[in-house]
Amino acid sequence: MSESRPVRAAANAALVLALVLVPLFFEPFRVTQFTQILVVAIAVAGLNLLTGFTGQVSVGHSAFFGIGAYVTGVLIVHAGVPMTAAIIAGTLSGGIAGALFGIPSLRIKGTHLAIVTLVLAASLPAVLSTFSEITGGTEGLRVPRITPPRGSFLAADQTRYYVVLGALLLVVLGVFMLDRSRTGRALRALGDNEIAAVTYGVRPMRLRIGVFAASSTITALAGALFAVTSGFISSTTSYMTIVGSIVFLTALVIGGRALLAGPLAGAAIAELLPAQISRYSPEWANFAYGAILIALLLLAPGGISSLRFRRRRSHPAPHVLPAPLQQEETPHDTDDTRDQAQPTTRIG
Amino acid sequence: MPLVPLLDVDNLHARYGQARVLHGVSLTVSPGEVVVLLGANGAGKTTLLRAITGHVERTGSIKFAGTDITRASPAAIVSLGLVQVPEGRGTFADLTVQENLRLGAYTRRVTAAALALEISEIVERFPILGERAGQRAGLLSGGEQQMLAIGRALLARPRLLVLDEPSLGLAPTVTRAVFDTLRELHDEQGLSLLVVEQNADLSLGIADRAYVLEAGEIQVDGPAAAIRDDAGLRRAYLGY
Amino acid sequence: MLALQLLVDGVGKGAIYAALALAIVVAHRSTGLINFAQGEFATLSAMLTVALTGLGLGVWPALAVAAAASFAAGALIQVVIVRPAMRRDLVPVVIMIGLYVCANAIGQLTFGQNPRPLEGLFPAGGLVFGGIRVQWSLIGVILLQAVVITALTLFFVRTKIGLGFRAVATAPEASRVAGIPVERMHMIGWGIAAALGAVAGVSLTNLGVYVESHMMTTVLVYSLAAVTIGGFDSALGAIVGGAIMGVVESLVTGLVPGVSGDVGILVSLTIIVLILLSRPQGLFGRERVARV
Ligand SMILES: Nc1ncnc2c1ncn2[C@@H]1O[C@H](COP(=O)(O)OP(=O)(O)OP(=O)(O)O)[C@@H](O)[C@H]1O
Ligand SMILES: [Mg+2]
Repeated sequence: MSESRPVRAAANAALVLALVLVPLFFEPFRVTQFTQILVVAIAVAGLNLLTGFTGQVSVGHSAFFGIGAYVTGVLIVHAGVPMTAAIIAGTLSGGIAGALFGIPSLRIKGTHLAIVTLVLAASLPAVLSTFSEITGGTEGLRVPRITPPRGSFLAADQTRYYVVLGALLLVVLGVFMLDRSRTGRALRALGDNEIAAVTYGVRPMRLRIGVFAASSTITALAGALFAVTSGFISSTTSYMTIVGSIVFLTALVIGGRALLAGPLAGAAIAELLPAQISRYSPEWANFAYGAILIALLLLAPGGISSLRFRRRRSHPAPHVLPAPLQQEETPHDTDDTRDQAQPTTRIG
Repeated sequence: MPLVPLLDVDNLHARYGQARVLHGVSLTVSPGEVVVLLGANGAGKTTLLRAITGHVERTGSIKFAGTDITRASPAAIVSLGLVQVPEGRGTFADLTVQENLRLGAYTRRVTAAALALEISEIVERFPILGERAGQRAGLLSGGEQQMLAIGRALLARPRLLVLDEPSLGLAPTVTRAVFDTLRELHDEQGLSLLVVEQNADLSLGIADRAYVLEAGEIQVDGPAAAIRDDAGLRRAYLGY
Repeated sequence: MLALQLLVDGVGKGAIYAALALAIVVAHRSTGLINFAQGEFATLSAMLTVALTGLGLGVWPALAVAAAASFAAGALIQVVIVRPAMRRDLVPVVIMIGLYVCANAIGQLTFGQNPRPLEGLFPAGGLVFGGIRVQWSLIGVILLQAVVITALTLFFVRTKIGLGFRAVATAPEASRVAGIPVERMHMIGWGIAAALGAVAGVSLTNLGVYVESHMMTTVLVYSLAAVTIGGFDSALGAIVGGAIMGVVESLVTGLVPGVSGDVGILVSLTIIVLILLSRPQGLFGRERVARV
């Protein structure tokens, strides 16, 4: 927040350049690992959109990821749909599912929304194993992977990396532009003070459903790309289960509010740290996810509300009040409506 | 005041997070005394009472009956006999009147039989509580809830009863009844009282001494009668 | 006839859902939080019971020890992990998810992957009643829940601590003013919830389920639906909601052809969404401002 705009732009440019160069210097095994991190970063960017604009938390994004992955995979494998079309279909399916959940999320908030999204996350593996004839259930589904275009000098792993990187950059650019647009302002106003926002003509219903749908679309895109870069999906793939939601949330909390660096850093740490631990066993990795998330939340000062996108031009408010009481200044609160009366003592 | 004060607050600072509300407040209540605390909205009266009873972050020194309670927990403070009737009464709306009263004695060790006897004494003073014993407290009227709140506080066996705006939201006649009750408790049982009130006239009428709090500092302190009779003081600080 | 048999089986399952739902309600009443890890806690309790019987303890004493240990562990977790996060917007929700994953991983790490049966609490065999089979264990499980619920009700209504617990649940600030140790009540609430979970988990094994790390995953979903139906603060609602979910699950999976047990989860999801949309306080809960 403190550094100036040119400095931030330069830092982002350097980050993008580094991301572009990375696959040229690492062996395929590493590049594949980095690709996976980029996939998670896209999913986190999707979650970031929801939490950043609305302050709501979804623990069901693993389901949107899974929908994206499975619609893509099943269309390619069983229906012979071309890969690009399948990815688009998978992404949009996640968006539609998200819009469906966006409707109840208008009224269901906080803990209640968490219950709904948790049950959603728990439902996906159940649905997958119910329709195991087409999904492969726990046995899984082999999906053809992205291959380099003919005549390209890129290796397969590098091609996959660049496709995912391109998608991530597009997503981040989209979120960035949304954040600066009229809609973005309306969304932030809505998050700050719904009643005031409505008086300015903001339409909460469309915006809320829209944000939920956009968020799940992005996460479904991550799922679709996961299917065609990893080549194998199953109902026990951790991203499709509640563990996936934990990974995304952990990455979100680690990465914070920054649009590009946040999801990336979060995804990198959330992917690499437990992977390091899971040399011993995958259960340790799951334990690590939970423990890291709990520790971060207990130690991080801001918690979830610090993940909200800030209003531009407003200086960071001094934290004079405990969080629930703290409100940013509202634009219609001008000086002449305040302090008209001297404090007086009522007389009985 | 020849006696050692029952409550001795010295140089008390209190804050909510970064927001400092009290800046070095000193105040005493002697045994058997009725003290009223006046001040405009937002002066910090509620904060002062909450700091004394252990509910707000605080520094300085608070002694009660010779014990330093600056760092004591709210429960420990109640069991020493410093009992508060909070702003807005703080009754348990979902519990019955009877259960509310039983909760008053929560910090004490009493047998069920002894507690029943004590509750019947309270009910003698506030007969309405007996009639409504099995009803949810949330269904009582404002005045009845204030009676319940006072009755519950009495069951904690207070030596000093601290009340935050007992007249809040009550009709004038009900307010008068509440103050009559407080007066009686003081006269009959020698109960010490520290009362925050917006109704300066009425509260000064039952008080021995008064403090005026403004922006977190004590501005005026003196015998209640003197403050009531000083037109300049009244205009400057009490606005009437 | 089939429908009646399914109804009986459903009530048995419903008793388990009710037991876990009750645990969730008790934890929610004490701290205003939905403990998503409640089911996983129950799994760990059941695993502990298996381990204790392995040491030669009878199954009833093992259950008693496991319930006591669960009480202590639940209370400890409340103090160490939940309390520091309680007043912070949405942080506890995410922490509950973290607890869920951690508890599940601990189960897998300590107990291993192989499902193991637990000795029955009740004699084998049962009654045949006009063509309907009723196992003793099913009757036993229902009676056990009834005993537990009665004891719990007496505790809340008759004892001083129970009264204090209810006071804290309805008005934490006023409780503090009255000198009730609010933090201790939160701790006790989570302890009781974990002990109830132990009973739920072990009861489930008496309906033929083996102990393994995912034994409570779907039970949690049904119990969350039960809690949503009954209202997050209503013990009676949890019991009725549990029974409803047990019967719904049994009928849906038994009567609709080609539907496996897992799809019952989707039914739960639908029920949860519909209830939260139309009557968020549940059928038995009183309307009240959300606390989180
Ligand atoms: N929980 C809180 N968090 C932050 N600030 C608070 C809190 N409670 C009170 N304050 C602030 O502390 C100051 C003093 O408030 P307090 O409630 O003590 O005043 P008061 O004298 O009791 O007023 P009133 O007559 O309106 O009851 C006010 O500026 C108020 O905004
Ligand atoms: Mg006040």
